[in-house]
Amino acid sequence: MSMELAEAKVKPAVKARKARGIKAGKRIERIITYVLLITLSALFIFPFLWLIGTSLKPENEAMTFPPALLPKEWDFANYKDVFTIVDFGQYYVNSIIVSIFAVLGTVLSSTLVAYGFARIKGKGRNFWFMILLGTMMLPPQVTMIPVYMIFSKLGWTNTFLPLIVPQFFGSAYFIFLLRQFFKTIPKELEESAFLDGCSTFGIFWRIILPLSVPAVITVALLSFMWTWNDFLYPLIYLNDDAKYTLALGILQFKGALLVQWGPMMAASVLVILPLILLFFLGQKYFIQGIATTGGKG
Amino acid sequence: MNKSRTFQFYMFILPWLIGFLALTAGPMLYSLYMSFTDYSGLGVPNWVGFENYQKIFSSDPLFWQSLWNTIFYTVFGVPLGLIVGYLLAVLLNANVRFMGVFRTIFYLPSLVPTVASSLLWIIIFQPDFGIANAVLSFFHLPTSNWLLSEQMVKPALIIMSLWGAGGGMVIYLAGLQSVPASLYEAAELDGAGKFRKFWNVTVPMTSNVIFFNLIMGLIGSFQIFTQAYVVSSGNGGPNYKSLFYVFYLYQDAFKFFKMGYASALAWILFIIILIFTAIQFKVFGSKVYYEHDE
Amino acid sequence: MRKKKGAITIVLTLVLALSVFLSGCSGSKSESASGGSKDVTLRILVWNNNPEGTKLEGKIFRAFEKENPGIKVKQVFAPYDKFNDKFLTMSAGGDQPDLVWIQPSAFGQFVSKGVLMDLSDKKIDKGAYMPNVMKLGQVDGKQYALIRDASTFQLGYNKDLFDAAKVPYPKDNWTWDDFLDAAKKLTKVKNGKTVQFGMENFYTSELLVENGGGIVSKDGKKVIIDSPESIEAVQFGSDLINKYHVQPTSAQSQGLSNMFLAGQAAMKMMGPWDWADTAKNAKFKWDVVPLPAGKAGNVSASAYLPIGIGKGTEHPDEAFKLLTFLSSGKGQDMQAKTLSAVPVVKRNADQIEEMSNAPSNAKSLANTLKEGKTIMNAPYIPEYAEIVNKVQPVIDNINLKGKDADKELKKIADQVRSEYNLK
Repeated sequence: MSMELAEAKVKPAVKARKARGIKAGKRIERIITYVLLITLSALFIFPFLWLIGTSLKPENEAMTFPPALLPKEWDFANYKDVFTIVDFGQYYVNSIIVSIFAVLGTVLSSTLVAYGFARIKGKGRNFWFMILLGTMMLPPQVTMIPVYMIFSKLGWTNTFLPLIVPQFFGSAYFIFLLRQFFKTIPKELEESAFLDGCSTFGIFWRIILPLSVPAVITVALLSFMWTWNDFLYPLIYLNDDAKYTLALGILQFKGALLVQWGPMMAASVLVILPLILLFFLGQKYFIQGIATTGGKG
Repeated sequence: MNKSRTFQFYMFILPWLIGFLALTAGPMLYSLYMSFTDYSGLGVPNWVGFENYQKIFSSDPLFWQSLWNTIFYTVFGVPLGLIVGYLLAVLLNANVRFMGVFRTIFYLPSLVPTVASSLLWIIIFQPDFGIANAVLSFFHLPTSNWLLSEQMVKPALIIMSLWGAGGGMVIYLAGLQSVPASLYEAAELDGAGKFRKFWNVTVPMTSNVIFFNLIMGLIGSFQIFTQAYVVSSGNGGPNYKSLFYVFYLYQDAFKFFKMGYASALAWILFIIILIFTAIQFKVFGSKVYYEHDE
Repeated sequence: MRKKKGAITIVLTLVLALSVFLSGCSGSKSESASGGSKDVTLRILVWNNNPEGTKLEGKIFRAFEKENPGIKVKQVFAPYDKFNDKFLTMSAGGDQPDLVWIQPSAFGQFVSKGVLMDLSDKKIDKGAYMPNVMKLGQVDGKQYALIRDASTFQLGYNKDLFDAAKVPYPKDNWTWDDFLDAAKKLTKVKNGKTVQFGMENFYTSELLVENGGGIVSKDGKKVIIDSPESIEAVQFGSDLINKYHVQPTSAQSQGLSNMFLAGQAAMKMMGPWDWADTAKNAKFKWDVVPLPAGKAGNVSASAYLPIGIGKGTEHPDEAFKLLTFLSSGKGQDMQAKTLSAVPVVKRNADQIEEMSNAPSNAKSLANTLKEGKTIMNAPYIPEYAEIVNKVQPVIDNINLKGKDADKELKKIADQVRSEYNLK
């Protein structure tokens, strides 16, 4: 919030400069930006259009040459199949439950831990930080079995717990990311808060977190999307069809001998649509670009 | 003060510390133990001493091949990914209309499930009618067999990864937000142009996230696996040229039932990544802008 | 200070509360335990060909439950190429399923590591099965699995394209020469580009079987990929692509799984698992014949599904009851109609022709199976998957670059021999 304040303070100065303005230069710059954005967008949106196109193609059109972006005949049967053949509605519910709790856990714990690593100089800090990074360097393929053993001993297999609870202990990736942000926040802010009688937790809660909204939102968005798209852990821990998540649901269309591309693409579209919406809404909180001097002002 | 700071530090990292001790440390040590056994993933492990490690270094050509593939991919892919992601973020940090839509579009490739996007890339790189070759021949450049070519399969996979640079972009965007506008003001008063502002303000002030993406890019790149697995239908072809390290490790663990051997491979990779990361910390760590520590 | 501690306590309490809440609502005991009631629940780990299949399997299990009150069956699904990930973690975690579908390439490993129950002493109605079927579940003379369906690849062909090219339809006793002859006539080139191929893709693994070759001998002791028969088979496969150009190169076919359905290839390897899809999507008339004969006659590789019982099961008797039901009991009477799965018992051989979407010459498949013309080509040695993984790139290279099969195969054969101590 105080970020916005800072921004508001500098705005009059920007405006003054602009009034004197190098208008033509600005316009050219703007045009270049748009041209770049639109050209690159075409490149980046292509996969999604193709995905939608394929999801609307009947089976015999799905994989022929030359490959066409759009189907010859539009066929929504694939979408119907997704809901009638597998229980996609239930998978949505499951994915939402798992992802929301996972995000909650990640954000709560990772911010706390990251603050510890970024700002509190305790004995052994560097040692533990190295360990934290180290946990990401061993391929998870070889720890999968022993981790499963633990959850199996706890009787947690075939529940959402193995997918959710570990998140409440923080994720090394996000702890490292948040640490990088916390470390750049001006020290003076903390010091004055300390003099005002704030406890360490108070400083974290009232000063650091509000200043890190873009970072925290980023962490929440990314962790939501990764949990949503992860199929390996749901595959290993969930046994009942009724507990499947969406990402695991998609895999059912990849059979031993045949892949049903049409329904699989339709399922993929349905899986990522909520994410697109979420990202579109979330990106606003990266706030207006302060870094640029252009714009409506 | 120092003592109580230490106490506070441990209280803050407590959630992670508990998780580490309860859920991570044990399995890591277990896998280290497994690397000295003939464990198959089924049945009982038998202690074999350094046999796995010995075999890896003395008589496993696929270990060297997959390590080379991975290093090639990392050395070219990581810096390229960093630069492309960063430039995209700078572009997407501009103040223009519909920016939300643009940002979403650039992030899309990171959302499409790998099974689906890999199929798309197979078609793009299709030697006979794929878009990649169509573009090349339009400019009268030599075409390629791409994913079927021993020389080009890794560059093709790097191109694929660049297209997902939107993932890193999100983190850069968050970083760009934290650059105080006052610094730009000051630079402008000093008469700095666009480029100097970018180089002297934007880059140093976002070095914290650049460094993050560098380290994580490195760790991630050394463990790259899924894309190559899907486009080569699980065999790392042609002729093992897309068999990346963790891909090979996965085959050993879950296809050939050599979990002990795979664990040894994993710990060797752990050491390699550790060394690379340490070098990055030494070389770049000091150049990262942080607020002064206590 | 106090405030901070309070917050951490809150977080930890939340974690604990959440875990209690979630485990409370989803039942924390693994389902294999029989709980309070006397009902026994069997878990069977399966993959699928398509999601419909998983649902239809359920019908057979419900029939079993009806016949055996007190036993419930629960399917646990894992996709085919992630199947071992799931099975290994479950087993290592002491949570092994009672029954498990087995990928033939993993069978040798499962047996050598003692994962499967030895069924040799159980009462099995061996006479009920079609020839060769019992053997598919045996290692060193001991029975470790029973087979639920056993089938094989055939040659599917597009009748319309044959008519248009005025080529007579394939016959049940076709040879490679007949096949090549027709394939040449069915390949069409326009402006230097092939617009129609005679054959979509003749798998090398099948060519090896048809010619009496293979990678490793059936007893798993000898490397035979450099036998004259094997070399001839691999060379023939390469020639189809590189010499006669009747089959697309991998560069031409990459990314296209359905050239046959699109009418761009006149013939295709086809198993009964393709019938439904072909019937639904083909816009032309089609039929099947046995694969053309190399030196070993009109034989083909057995494609089959072994099911085993996990050694760790708490309900061995019930599990065997289910296995019997599936592999020789009433399940066999249902599966052709319900699942379009080819039965393995003699009494139901005729049902193959009545399966939905069966082409008119489906009888030829029944004959191949009844006459025992299928060959088991994956020896059950633990290293087999690894050996195939070594040999396949060599074959791919021969096909891709038109390299000399004789030279390349001899080289890899020697390498495999020394690495795995084989003859």
